[in-house]
Amino acid sequence: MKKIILLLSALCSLLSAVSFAEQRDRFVFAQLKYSGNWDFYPEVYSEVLRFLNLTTSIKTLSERRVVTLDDESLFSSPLLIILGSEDFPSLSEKEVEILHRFIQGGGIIFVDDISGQKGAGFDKAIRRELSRILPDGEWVKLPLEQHPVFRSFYLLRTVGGRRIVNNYLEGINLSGRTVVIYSQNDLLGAWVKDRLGNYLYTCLPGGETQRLEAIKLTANIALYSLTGTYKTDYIHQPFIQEKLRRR
Amino acid sequence: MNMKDIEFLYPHKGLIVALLIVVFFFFIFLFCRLQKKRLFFFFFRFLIFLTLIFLLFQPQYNLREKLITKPILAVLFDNSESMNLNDPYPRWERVKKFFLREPFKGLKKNYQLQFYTFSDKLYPWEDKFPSPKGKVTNINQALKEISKTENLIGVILITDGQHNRGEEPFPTPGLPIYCLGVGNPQPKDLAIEEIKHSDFAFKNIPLDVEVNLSGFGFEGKEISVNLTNEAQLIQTQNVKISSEGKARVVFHFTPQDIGEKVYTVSIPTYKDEISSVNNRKDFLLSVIREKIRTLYLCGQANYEYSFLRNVLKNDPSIELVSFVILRNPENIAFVPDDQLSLIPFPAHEIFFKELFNYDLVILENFTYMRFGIHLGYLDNLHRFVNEKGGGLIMIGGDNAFARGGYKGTAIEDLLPVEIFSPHEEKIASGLFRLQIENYNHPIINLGNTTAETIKIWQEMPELDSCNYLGRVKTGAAVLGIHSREKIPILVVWEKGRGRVLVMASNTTWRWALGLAGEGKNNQVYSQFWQKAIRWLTRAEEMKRVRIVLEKKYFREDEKIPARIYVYDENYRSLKEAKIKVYLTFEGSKKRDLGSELHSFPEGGYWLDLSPKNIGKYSLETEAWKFQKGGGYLGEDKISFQVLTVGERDKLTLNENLLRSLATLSGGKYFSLEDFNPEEIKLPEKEELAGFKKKINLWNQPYFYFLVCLFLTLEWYLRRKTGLL
Repeated sequence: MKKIILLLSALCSLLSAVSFAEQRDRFVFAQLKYSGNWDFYPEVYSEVLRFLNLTTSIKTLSERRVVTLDDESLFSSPLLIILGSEDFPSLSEKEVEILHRFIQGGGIIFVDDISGQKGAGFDKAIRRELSRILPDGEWVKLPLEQHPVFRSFYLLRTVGGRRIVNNYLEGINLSGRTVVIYSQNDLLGAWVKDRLGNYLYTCLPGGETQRLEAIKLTANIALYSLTGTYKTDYIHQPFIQEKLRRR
Repeated sequence: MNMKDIEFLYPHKGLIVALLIVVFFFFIFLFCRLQKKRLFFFFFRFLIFLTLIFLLFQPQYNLREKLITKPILAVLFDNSESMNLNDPYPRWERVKKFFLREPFKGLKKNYQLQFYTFSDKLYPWEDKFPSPKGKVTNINQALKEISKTENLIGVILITDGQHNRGEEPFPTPGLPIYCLGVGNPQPKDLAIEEIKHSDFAFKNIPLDVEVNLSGFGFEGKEISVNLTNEAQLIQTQNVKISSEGKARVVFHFTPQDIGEKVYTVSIPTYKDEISSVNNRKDFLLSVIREKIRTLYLCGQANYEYSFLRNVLKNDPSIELVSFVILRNPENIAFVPDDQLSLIPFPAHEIFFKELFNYDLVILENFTYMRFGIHLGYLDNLHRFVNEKGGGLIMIGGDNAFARGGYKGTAIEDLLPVEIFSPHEEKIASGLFRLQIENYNHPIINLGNTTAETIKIWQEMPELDSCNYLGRVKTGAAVLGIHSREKIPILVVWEKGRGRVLVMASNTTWRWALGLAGEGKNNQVYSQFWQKAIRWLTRAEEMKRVRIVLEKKYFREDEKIPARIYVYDENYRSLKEAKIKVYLTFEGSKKRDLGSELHSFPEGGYWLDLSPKNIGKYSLETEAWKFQKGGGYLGEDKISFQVLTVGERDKLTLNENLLRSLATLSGGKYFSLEDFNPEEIKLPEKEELAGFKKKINLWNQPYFYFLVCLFLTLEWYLRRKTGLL
């Protein structure tokens, strides 16, 4: 009886230690709900969070946080994930202003286009809206050899995803910070598993190697949101260069 | 008599006009009924009545006369010291010879000539020819004053144009200025024209100082330019004067010592130069400590690190080295090590070799226990703060304080709070506000006023969870507490020579993002941390004793107001303190100024300095608490320079200024020798209708005599004609 009570207490402590409402210094998988196809992969967050907890020092909030643009908790979620597959209506001026403030306050947006279509549908819509949100922002291709997102945890030489639409990531820089990271390769699609735990989608054309790169890139994006340009510090360069030379 | 010159004094003119109308219609009425022989008498009486009514209006006649006047032409002679310069012989002598030729004789026919001298302002002409002794030249002031003269038609300005005080001269509209330039636009002179330098530099960081030279009469000559610091030669450079008489030198050097230093740039002097005063020029440079070298160790990748890192990286006075634990020993690596960007944590290098090169160490959610850091390294960190005077910040989290294993270590001794035992320490969960306990502390004081600071903190978003801290030690200052639990969150103190700050929550990033979400200024987040770092590392602005001067360079005739501010340990302004103040001039004996010190009622002290000599001065102060055995509060020292006003700085004739003044005003420029009075084209005699006097017509006896005469005549004629 004593053991049961102790076990129950321990369980309660564990639960209370990381309550769903309590963020503390945890990483949050915050996903934007908007008037479009925003939730193609409703369960993928758990795979991502499990992986981060297993392989990195990051502590995560166990549940996904779904936020709308009038939600106060948006400003408790420094990394905002936007998924999409098709065109969506323009954001209102107020919504544009909110996202602008989010970025100016230090937030980062990760956009994952799962449609595979360039220049149409979701791609066209998101570019349109991001240009309204950040009219002064500079759209760039993130350089594979230098950008900290490609070395924030894993050293990446290529860009993965469920399918390779671009062999690069794009981003918007503002005041020396990359505030938007944009993938058109359906990065999160590479994570999706069925009920039996098998990966649901084939990664084309590269197969499992390509999936692994997608997983590493997703982890890197999370780490980038938590460490910024850490891996571009001078002290890391000799080690990184040596490792890259050895591979 | 001009009818226009008649005016009427009676105020109620309407009444008189009404009376006139009544009388007029009355007489019309009578006229129609009168017999022919009575018509003569009718008009007689009508005239009499008109005369009386005219007088009722109290008429006044303005007697005028024609005046013929000569307009005034003012002659202004520059009486400043620069007119003594030999060019090749004294400028004022040239002007004196010019005056002896009576150049303005022909102008006296049409103008009234009035003579003045000017330097800092306008002065009346003395009987004898003035000798130049004015300390400054303010052409603008002289023109302003002379323009107030009535009937002024123009100005003749005799000067070398070296305006060195007040606003740039500008002509008064409608007042032509005829400028007579005195001097040589390019006398033989080697001069340091300008030294371009920043007001401060970092110790051990190279900087550039640019020197622009002029060398009229020395074209093609190679000269050496020296840079010295208090008689010690730092660098020499050789430069050739160009064919345009210019040269430029850039000194690239690295200041070694902190403090306010006087540097001197000097060039050789030659016998036939117009002046040697401008062959040497001093400048003040504040050499401040190099960048604040900060070591930031973060025990777990989290948002607090990314936001705080961004603040530190964007602060140009901070040099950041950081390490983040991205993977714990228990984490799984499913790729080989060469696919990870991770590097081994260099514990030995940090805590043994490099630690004392830093100024500040930040431990955020960091446990020493897992990463090869043994207790000896923590002892080093203790010495770093206690003996070297380094700063330490410990920020909470799951790996901080007791959970970080610091109980009973040298780190616990450094902290302003005790640490619980690991099994005792708890985390206070949930959102809370930081309730401020001391708004005056420099870390907390984020506004321009106390009221503004209070408002800023009241609007700060909530933090999320915190470590429970142990007992606050004696001498520590609690700056902020948990708004619900009332437990200390932000605590600071001085430990040995260093300072320590403890922040029990690692979620201050919520201030930055939260304020942005509310559309408010989120820079206060950055300011908070920047102030904390500066306080911990004793940056200049965080001193407890401060001398404030409004600038570093003063003119020799200028009064210099100095303010001294004294604060207690918690940066509250002290109204009573024991102060000593000394003034030193260029290495001579210190002069005690204690008796000249006055206090402000709200705290702080002031005194006015009136230094007599040109050169570098140091003002020093020390302060103690007022009570018996009162503790030492600190000291401050500030340097300033008193400069000559510049009569000997620029020696050339400033032809450009004088030509511009002449052209803009509609006048003309002449060199002294080329002056031609016939080229002065100004309006000559002026005819004025001068006013002489007023004559009251209504009290002149003649009118009343006339009325009486008319009445008498009318009566006589009536009798004669049998109408009476």
